[in-house]
Amino acid sequence: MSEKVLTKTTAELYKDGWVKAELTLTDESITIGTEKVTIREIEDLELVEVDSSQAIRIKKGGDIVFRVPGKLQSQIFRFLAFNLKSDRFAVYFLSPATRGGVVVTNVKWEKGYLSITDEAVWFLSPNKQLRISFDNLGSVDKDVRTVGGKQRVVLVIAHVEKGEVLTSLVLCPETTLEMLEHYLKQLIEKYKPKSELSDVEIQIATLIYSGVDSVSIESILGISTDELDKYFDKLVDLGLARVVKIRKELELTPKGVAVVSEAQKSQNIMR
Amino acid sequence: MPKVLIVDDTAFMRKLLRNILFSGGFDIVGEAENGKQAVELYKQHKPDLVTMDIVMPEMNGIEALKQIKSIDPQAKVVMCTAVGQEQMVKAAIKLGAKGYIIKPFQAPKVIEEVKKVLGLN
Amino acid sequence: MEIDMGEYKQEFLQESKEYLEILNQSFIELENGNKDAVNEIFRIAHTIKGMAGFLGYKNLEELCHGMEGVLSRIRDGEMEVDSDIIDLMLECVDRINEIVEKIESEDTDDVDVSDLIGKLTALKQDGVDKTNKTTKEIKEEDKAQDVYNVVVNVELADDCAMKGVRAALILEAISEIAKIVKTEPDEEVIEGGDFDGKFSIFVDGSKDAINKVMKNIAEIKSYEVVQVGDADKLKSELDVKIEGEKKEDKESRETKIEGRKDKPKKTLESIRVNIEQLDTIMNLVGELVISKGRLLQISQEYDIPELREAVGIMDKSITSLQDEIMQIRMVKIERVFSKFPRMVRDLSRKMGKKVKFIIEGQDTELDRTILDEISDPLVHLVRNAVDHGIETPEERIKAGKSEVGLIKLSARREKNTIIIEIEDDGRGLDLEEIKKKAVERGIILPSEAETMSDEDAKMLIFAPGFSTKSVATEVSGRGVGMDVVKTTAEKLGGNVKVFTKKGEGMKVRISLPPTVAIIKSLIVKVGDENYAIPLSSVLEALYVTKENWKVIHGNPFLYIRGKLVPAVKLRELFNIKNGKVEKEVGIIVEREGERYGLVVDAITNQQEIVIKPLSSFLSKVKGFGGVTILGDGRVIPILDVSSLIGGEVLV
Repeated sequence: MSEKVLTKTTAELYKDGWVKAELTLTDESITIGTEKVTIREIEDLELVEVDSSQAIRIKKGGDIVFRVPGKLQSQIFRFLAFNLKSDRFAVYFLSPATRGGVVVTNVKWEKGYLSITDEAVWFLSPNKQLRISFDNLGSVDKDVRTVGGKQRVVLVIAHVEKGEVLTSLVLCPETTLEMLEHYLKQLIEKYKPKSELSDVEIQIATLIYSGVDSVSIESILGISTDELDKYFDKLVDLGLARVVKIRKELELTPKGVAVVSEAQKSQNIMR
Repeated sequence: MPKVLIVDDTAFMRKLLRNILFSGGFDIVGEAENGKQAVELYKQHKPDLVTMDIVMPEMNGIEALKQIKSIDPQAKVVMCTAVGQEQMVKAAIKLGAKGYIIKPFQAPKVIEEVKKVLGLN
Repeated sequence: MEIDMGEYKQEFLQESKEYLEILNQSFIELENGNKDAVNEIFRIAHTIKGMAGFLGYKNLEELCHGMEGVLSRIRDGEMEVDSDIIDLMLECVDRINEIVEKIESEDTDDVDVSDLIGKLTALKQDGVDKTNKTTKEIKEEDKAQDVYNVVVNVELADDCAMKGVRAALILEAISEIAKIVKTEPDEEVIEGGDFDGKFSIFVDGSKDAINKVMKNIAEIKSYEVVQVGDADKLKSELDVKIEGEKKEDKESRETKIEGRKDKPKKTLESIRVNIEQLDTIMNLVGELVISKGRLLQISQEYDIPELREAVGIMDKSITSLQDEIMQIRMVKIERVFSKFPRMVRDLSRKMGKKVKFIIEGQDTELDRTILDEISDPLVHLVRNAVDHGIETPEERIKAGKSEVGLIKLSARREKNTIIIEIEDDGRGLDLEEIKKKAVERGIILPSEAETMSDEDAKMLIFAPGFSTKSVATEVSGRGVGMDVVKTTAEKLGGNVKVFTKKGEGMKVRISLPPTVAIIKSLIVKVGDENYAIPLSSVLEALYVTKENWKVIHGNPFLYIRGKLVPAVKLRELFNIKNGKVEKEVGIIVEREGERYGLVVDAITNQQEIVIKPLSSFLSKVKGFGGVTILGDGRVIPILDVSSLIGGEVLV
């Protein structure tokens, strides 16, 4: 049986810079210039940003990065997403169901697949190919939700996208659900940040979330600025927080002291 | 300044709420670490408002709410809750809780809720 | 607008049945002190009432309304729950069940509920008296029910995290200063959080007071309080208003239904399938498996590799298909277990016994055919435990036990077996008494009774004609005797064991296969005959040699890794004369921990077979669990390892 050619186009392959290359997509393989990959052997797929333009990254052993002009790129991406090497489960999904804890209203349940590739979990439907890399998986839990007017057990998957916590819901037969929960939990366990946070670190993270300023955090937890700085550094290193403002601590120069002393004399400044 | 009684079984949460409420201009008259203490302190201080955690040892927040309400039907109690405890909060509301705040707390929301419940605008 | 009521009726019936089960359970929980259960019960009563009202079942609606009245007083702590109230409530549940059945069969809810309504009203009145309201006042309130003069339109803040709770807070706050007539969407929908943040409340009260309350609630994006007319004027035009109102109400409902109708189409995640259809599919899959075997055989006989490959692929699909259907057929044992708490409660109350009933392993899944078959025997065993097992409180105290008896019903999966256990801490079996009774009933001879082992004596309770309660009394229910428990379990390919100690209690353990119909098996050959042995009972296979074949005191054994395993040559057992092989094969099988060696000529194949049960007189033949049809059309018997080992054939 010969391969059926689906599309042929010019594309660009990234090899320390963009190189023009012929792209041939068949029902079994994708060829970009000299690189030929069997689609079923693709281990992972991702849209990446290279030199501020969007490109497709294919993982099969190493990485192949290429881009295709125009709409064709998303079509090729979709085809690959549906056909690469993965564990696929037919499910209904609602993604995202909540964004930052707030219910998203304009999304609908979609019929499609929950697909698990080498590095990511995917929600696949004709309209949506949402990739959640394992690093961005937060938690998986069963919960009862009202779906179509009925109480149904669904899987609630929490994941992070651009610093926001999203949740997505998955609905499928209960036995599959059970299995998926187990599977995903194992994955999360495996990809958990290696260094666990200590109680103090979690408390600090909570305080930051609550909008408590650094000085108050120090006093609430009874720690010094230096200690807090170390904890902050760790949270930043783990990608759990980012620096938005660096506070300056000052000491007055003699000139400054003079200004202050002078100000005391004119009564209307400090009262 | 309005007087607030903070009820939570973890010292950390109490400190956090104290900090948030203090910066919001409230006077914290007491902290209780379970429902029993809360009821006692309520009798002592007659605060304008109570923030009440739900899950606590000795006496939980729902029970404490009931008792406080029986002492003072006008008591203003704001429940502290977490996602997944919706049913309990609803029960608390039916029992007379005037508001609720969600953990993890966000300072502006806490302040808004407490001010609204106290009728400060 | 024409609505297809039939569709909703079907849905209503299905849901009602599910709700009834929950009601039964929840009331027991409520009686046992779980106060939260009342919320669930209230919700369900309210839901059924709503559906009944919509479909025009007036009696049902009225009954649910009556229940709600009492329930709300319980919920608000105005009424203490006692066994009498629970009795009445359960009576209501039974009546609802009756109505639902009537609706299903005759499409009418023409069942008299006035007696219950009377009792409910009387009960409710108790609470009302406490709040010092006269009946006249209540009547007036009822009359004014549908009147509102203020509409509050609310939109919650976008970032409001628990919309349902916030809405509940708003409704509660308003209800403290005014009367809420209705909400749009319904109160339950709003409090369930299943809405877009916008809702309207129709209130009978003062606009200013409501404004004041609304101002002091957080997380509201916007709200407006609209005066819709003068309350007094409205009251005088009551009839007209209600008329119009009803119409409007109906319209809004109709549009709602339309919306609902669309929904399932988009989010269809399950369909209900007739179990018979499922059985047919299962049978067809069975036929497919047989055909596949035939094709495979052809490919081997004629050595056609392409065919073999094609069949290989087909095989995969069939296996998946089979697995899927097996999965579909699996149901949680909860379906059967859930009816027991109510049963135990009623029974123990009736018999003046105190019983604590524990259920474990409700999530255990098994094939629904098996579940259906085992349901009645389980009912019998549980009833038996309450009836015969647990003593009266006085007897228990005398025996130095806690006056509350314990009955535990549990299910679990152990490898390829589902184990269901019914355990009680009651009086246990008196084996001497049992033997005596068995002799009296002519089941055994007096001489047998003397030499009989305890193990065998226990099993006497399963002998046909032993159980005195096999006549349909109320307690033994549908006339299912203990013998049926055993035969049912065995028919399903399982077995029953009894553990007991006089005065301390009894445990009946039923072991069942989780699925039926298709099993993996070894096909073995003895002479010209073929037999199938279920793989689930096979431990290992080995060649029989001079070294490991021992005959001790005339009994044959296989000596395996330092242990003697009793063995039998099927050749001798089935009296097969033709053919003889040099190296025989011993197949070690296991049942309930006992090992046995079956000696055959050879293992010819390992394959999936479809069990065709033996019918009529053949079903009495011990040692065979059925027959199967091989790919080439030959019919071969399936060995039933348990009855072989159980000694019924070998002794």
